[in-house]
Amino acid sequence: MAKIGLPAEMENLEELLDFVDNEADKAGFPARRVSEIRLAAEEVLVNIFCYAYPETDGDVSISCFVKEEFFVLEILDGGTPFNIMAAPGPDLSSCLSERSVGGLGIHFVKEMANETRYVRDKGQNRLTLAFGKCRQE
Amino acid sequence: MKIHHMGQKKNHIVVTVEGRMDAVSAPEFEKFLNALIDEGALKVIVDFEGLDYISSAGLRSVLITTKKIQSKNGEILIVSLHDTVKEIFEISGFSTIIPIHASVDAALETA
Repeated sequence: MAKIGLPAEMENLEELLDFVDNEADKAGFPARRVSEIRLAAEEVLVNIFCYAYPETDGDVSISCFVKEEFFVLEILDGGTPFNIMAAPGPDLSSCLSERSVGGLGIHFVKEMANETRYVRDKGQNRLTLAFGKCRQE
Repeated sequence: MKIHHMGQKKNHIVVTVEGRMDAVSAPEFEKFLNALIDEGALKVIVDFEGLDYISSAGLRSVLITTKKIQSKNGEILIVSLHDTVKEIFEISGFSTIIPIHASVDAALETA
């Protein structure tokens, strides 16, 4: 299992996503699917950056592994309890411009991942996304 | 992400975008287009041939700039989407609200 942990800040977005890209590529996923996995990861991370730590600084970590034919991402943060998969759309205060197309990022996560699971565990949000070699349309 | 001003083609300013438009780079795109619109550009073609990736933040910037130019009775034409980027436009439903053309020339024919 490969793992990366960094402060949940926008300036770390590229590094976190490049890590995911690289791991999905190493797992033998086709370029187009790697791009879809990157997209799902970006939408989850941006959400965490914007909403997880409204008044403090905090970290986010990503673990990647292959299970059966799936590439699995586990994204953890210690911020406000929030089940992104159950949310109708982001409507909290910090990212104002988000509202005009609110919920689109979450829609992408649901479209791109074959399976999603959220648990609140030991004070952390743990989101698990599993990706098959192809997107299920 | 790289943005280039390619000059004018029939009354339209052509702008090319290369690389990835994500939450980090999308504000740059917005800033670039906003500056053009503020300078008085009313007809802009955005050529995405070199664009490999777009996220909801990128789509939001495209939508915001499109709305801005439309409010001045102008238009933004999006051209040359790669399959991956086209897929994102389709899933988002944006392809039904923003006109997308196969190429710069195809866009100019309908303009």
